[in-house]
Amino acid sequence: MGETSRKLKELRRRCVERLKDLPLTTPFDLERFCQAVAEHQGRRIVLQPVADVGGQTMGAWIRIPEADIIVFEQHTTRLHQEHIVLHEISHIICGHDAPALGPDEIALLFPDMNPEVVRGVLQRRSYRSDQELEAEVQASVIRERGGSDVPAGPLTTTGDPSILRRLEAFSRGESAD
Amino acid sequence: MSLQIDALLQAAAVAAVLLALAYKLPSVRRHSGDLGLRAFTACIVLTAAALVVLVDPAHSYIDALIGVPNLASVQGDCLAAGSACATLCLLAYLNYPPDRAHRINLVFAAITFLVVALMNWLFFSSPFRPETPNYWTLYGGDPAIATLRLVFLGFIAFVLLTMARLTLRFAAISTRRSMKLGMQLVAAGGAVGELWVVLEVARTLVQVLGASQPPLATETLGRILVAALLTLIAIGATLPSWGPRLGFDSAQTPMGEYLSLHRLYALWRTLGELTPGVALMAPRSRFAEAIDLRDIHFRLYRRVVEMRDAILLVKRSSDPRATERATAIGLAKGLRDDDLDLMVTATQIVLAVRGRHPGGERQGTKGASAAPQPADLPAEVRWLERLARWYRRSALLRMVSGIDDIDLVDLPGRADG
Repeated sequence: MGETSRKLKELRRRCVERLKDLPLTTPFDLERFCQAVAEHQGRRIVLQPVADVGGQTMGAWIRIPEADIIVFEQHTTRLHQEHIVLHEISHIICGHDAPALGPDEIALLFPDMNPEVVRGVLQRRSYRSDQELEAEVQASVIRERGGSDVPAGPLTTTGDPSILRRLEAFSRGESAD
Repeated sequence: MSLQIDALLQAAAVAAVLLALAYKLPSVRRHSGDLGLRAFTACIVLTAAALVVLVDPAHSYIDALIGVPNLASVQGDCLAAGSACATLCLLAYLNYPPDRAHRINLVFAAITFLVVALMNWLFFSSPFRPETPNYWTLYGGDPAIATLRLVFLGFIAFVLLTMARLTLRFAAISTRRSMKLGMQLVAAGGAVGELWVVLEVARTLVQVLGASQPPLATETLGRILVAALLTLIAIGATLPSWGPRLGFDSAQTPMGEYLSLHRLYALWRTLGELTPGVALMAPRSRFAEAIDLRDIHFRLYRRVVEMRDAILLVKRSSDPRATERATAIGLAKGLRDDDLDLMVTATQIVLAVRGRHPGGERQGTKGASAAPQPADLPAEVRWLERLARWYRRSALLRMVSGIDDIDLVDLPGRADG
């Protein structure tokens, strides 16, 4: 097994462990998931589709004082958009730092935004940095674990949700308490 | 021959439960304080111990060591009773809040203690008999030994019934296919276990009622049932953990997803070479991909995301004149909606591969397609598979080869879906 493969495996294990406290549903519901993360973080999350984010960038997480803004490419498919959003949300879940950008860079990337309110920006472009790699793996694991594409109808539970929560925790090898 | 089959069945059952333990061991180590995981571990370890104790050479060795003939036969059943108790505890932790589960489990533990104590009292109160690996078959006619056996079987029947009832309840409320199927398999294991109980009760009663000893073949049948029930429970209890990695929870079958991985391979590699930054890992050879059966659902999801990333980047860097020309050609040939979108996208990839888009202004992706977009993973996979077919069509390649000369050759008809 190569070093990259080992690193990814370990990263994936950590990302799965992190899912313990997150409300994952079948089928996956991005809006509910964002709400839960926002409540957990105590900060508002705003999803903002943008036509042609630009360059190699497909999405970005912008920190402003009162909220986290998730920018994502408008002209792509729903599943792809969801993944881009999950990548940016994963930065928040993983506790990453969004580095500050200069006013010129901000104006170039987001011409409609006042550069003075932007505290930091992370963009989904490549996975060269550890933060980007971790966010990408986290997003993939969320989609893998939390949302099959099985229609909700016949599989929707009508039973005690706490039993289901304990069963799912046991199946993931986690503590149900 | 019969003994060899018995040993083989026993070994298979031990292997099944130990594999289940090995699979869960990392979780147990990480959450050593979790009572549910502790109960699971106790269940597996006691089951494996019971199976080992009940067959030779361990059976004869233990009896010789302690000096009490046939003690291992009874202690093996006591270990099985302990395993059954641990199963009840695990189910209670899953089914009830911790405080209530704890109270219920104290009752289960007390009942198990009484059952084990009664079994030992009955064994030691009857005379010792010559050592044999077929203790119940040879001496089951003795009232004390028959009572001992029936006490044990009654307790096991109660545990298996509770297990089947609760796991069917879990299956009914499960929202994942692998969880639902796993719980149903455990319940099926419980049903097989009840058949074993009925067989053993019949074997015991036949002897008590004075008929001849039950044929040894029924003992082999009993071992087959035990191996089947343990295998069903081991697979069912762990399926919710490893099932998603094999695609059990996806709308496509695992085989369907595996084939999709294969169908998308060539275009995925091409797109990866065009946009090296989109892949998490460097691509492997087709052979290495084909023999790797792990994480199929996860790999397919990653493949779709990476292909979508690459397509977006290719579209952004496409020469708008070539894209417009390709669209005009498609429209002229009667392509609409999805087919037109596929044809234009395939053309953009072909041109990107050929490096025929230098100098043009960025087109961006605005208005690139008004076609209905795939809404979920299976739809995405179907769309990308169609794109892969468009991409490798020779007619398309001939068409785009003439795109600069506006001298067109035959276009394919509507893309097959």
